[in-house]
Amino acid sequence: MSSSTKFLTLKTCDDKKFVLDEAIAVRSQTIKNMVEDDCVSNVIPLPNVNSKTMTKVIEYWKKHSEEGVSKDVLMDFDKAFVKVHHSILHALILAANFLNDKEILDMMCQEVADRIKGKTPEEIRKEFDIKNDFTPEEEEEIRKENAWAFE
Amino acid sequence: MEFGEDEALHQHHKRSKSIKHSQLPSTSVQDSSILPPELITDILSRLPVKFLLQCRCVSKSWLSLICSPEFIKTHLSLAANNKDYINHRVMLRVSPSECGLKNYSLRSLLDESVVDSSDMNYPVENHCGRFWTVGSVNGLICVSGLFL
Repeated sequence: MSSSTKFLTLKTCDDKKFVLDEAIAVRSQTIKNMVEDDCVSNVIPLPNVNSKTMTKVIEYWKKHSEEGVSKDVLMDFDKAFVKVHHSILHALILAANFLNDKEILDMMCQEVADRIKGKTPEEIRKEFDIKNDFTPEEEEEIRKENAWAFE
Repeated sequence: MEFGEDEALHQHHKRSKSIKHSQLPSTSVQDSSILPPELITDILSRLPVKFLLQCRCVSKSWLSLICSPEFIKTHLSLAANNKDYINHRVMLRVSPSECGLKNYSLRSLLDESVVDSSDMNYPVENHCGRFWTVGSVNGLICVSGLFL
């Protein structure tokens, strides 16, 4: 690290503080914009992100900022990174969306999409916390329209 | 039918007016884990059509989203431009003596040791004869031929 390394302090919604090298923190376009617009004072508040989620995001940022890490190692890291409970996946998607980190957002959305494959509508409702607002007749009608898709 | 998949969604849009669609997710609880509509769109636009057709059953808001012309356009463009060809399928007749058409996953033909294939399901499936494609648009294929 050069002597000019700048550090930023990020504060999550549960009041935990994270001190991070600015060069790493600007992987977040949201933070980058704040730094470039000079509106960073002492602490950057992240009202939409909790500390548990932020820890995961920083783990990802640090790994992907390391020098001399091979593509294979990063691929293995990413594979392990997405293997979390769906509630953490959703929290990471919301955090990546708020932080405007397209890389994490893309990876997480793909993981959620991959998990939808092979799930029944009922299982999907449970995972996304969605109420079934169809009558059984309406649901049956939709199933019948493209019955091949349900085989 | 595996071909003409985006067309299947489009036709549904035309026919499904009888079911009332609500525009927003039915839940009003501000749960931190509930994803906003634009992120649901991002996730669903990555799914193959077969799974999307299943997802229409999840809720009225998902049905309305999946069948909207905007979503169909986004989905088609993503699927057609996927660099790994995950949604592309190749339609083949294995040999002149066989009647049926098969379709193969292009991705599996190129990269995988096991080829993913399935029989095509189409109206004159069990009739042998000469046939040819007249044209195709957005995955909908027009086949013409002499069927015996």
